[in-house]
Amino acid sequence: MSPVIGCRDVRKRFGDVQALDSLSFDVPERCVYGFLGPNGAGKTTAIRIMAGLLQADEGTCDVSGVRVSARSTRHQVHIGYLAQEPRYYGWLTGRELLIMSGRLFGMTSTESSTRAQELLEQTGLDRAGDRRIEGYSGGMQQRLGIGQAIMHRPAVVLLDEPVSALDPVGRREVLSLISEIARESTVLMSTHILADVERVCSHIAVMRSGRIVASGERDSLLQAYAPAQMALTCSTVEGAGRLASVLAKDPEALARQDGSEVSVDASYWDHHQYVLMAHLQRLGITLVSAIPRRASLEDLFMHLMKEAA
Amino acid sequence: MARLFILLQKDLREQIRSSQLLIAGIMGVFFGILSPLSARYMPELIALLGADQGVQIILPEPSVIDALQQFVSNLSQLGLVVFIVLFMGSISREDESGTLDFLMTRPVRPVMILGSKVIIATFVAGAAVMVSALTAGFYTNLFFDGFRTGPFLYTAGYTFMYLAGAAVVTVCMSAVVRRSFAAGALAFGVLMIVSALGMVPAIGPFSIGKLNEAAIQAGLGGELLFRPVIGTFVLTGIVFTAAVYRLKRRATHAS
Repeated sequence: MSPVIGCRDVRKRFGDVQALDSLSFDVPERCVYGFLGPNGAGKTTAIRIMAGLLQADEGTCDVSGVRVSARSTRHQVHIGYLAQEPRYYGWLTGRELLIMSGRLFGMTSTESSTRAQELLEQTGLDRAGDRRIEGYSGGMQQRLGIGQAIMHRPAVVLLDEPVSALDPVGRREVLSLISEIARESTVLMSTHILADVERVCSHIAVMRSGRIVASGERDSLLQAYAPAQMALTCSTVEGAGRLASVLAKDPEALARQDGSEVSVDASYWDHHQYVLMAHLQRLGITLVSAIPRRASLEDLFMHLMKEAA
Repeated sequence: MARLFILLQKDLREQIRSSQLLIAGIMGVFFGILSPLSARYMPELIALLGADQGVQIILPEPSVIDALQQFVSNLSQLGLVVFIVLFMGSISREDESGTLDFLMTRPVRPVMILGSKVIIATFVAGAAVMVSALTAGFYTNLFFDGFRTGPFLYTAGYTFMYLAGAAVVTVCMSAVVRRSFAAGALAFGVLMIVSALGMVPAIGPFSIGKLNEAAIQAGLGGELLFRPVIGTFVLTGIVFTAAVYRLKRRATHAS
């Protein structure tokens, strides 16, 4: 698949802060691409550059073969953008906003009205479409934001933290919507919520300090970077806690506790299982099961963050 | 042009739904009534106040000239403040709230965004001066002899030019700075400085402030002055260019 977004050596500095440092990556067509990273990693800056809202100091970004520049509007027709905290004209109705958006993208009045109705239904806003936006809840504004981003059927939809401000129900709805959008467009979404990435993203890029530390297909990355795990289930949570604190002294173990389960690096288990058994016996902990499991995105993320640090 | 038309629709709708057009209209009617009324009864009020304190104050009989002067000074002083407050957030408020990003991610050039705001501000100034002139004309004709519609239209035209110029400067300043209050203060400062330049012999006749003198002079049937009109066009052209440049540069510096 040919990349629909291609960024090369993008740099951006704000005063003393190097927000982006030689950022390079490709996004293949028709996928949901997750931009992962801790706060301050440069995700929003990268997305704003791709949307043409910021001019990079150096480097280039191409979307659908068109060079993005804050000084031009040629690329805009290929891009739909949802800001991190979307704000729209409160005195407009949702339908009016969508129609205006379509008209600004060169759609006719009839096309805009038909598409607006279609999107109001798709985003579950059909009953609120003729109400002023100032009366919308955060979730409704977010769904309207997605609607305006895909109004003109862009090749690429850029979503900056689309679900971070939503409650679980709102999150679920918006994530389903994102999966639907990916049938027509390529979606690039930034987030720091790993569960969301796990749910909808087929490709990911992990950012730290303005650089991409790893990128590619999610499953390949998990295989390549995140070590397999051994899940040790103890009979009590308290026992698991004691085991985790002992293992914490050995960084190679990569131990992490979740309730009564303590996960350790699979190769550590292979090489040190007798030591581990001795620990369990000494501490009087009963091991219920020891099951190998695939590494999670969280494991991958933590691993990459540690490596980059 | 189609996109500019859509932006104009949006900005006009905002003026209507946020009641800014209504406020400008009410202001126009208020000053339209107040100006001839105060010209007609102010001398009597002053005489009455003097009589209360045992002082006899004799003031000349008020005339249509007083009504004209009141109309121009009310709109150019108090009206100016109202217009600065109405338009100081035109772009900066959109920037602060994030709606400017919505526009900037459409195939719309900064010159169109600003152009639409400027046209609508001019329209609002026109509407306010029109209702004000209609009301003032009606009451001036009622209270005074010698009211002439033709010259009064010139007065209204110059006053419109002044308020529209002030509104355009305010809209443009709101693109130059990112806070509405700062935009208002900057617009007021620019207008005061340019008006003060009216005292400089070589460039004074071109000052926007001279439009008020031109308005009164034209209302009295005097010569029409074109230099302040030219000066106002030049001023608004300069601030418009600076504002478009600033909006374009916004992408390079915004965080």
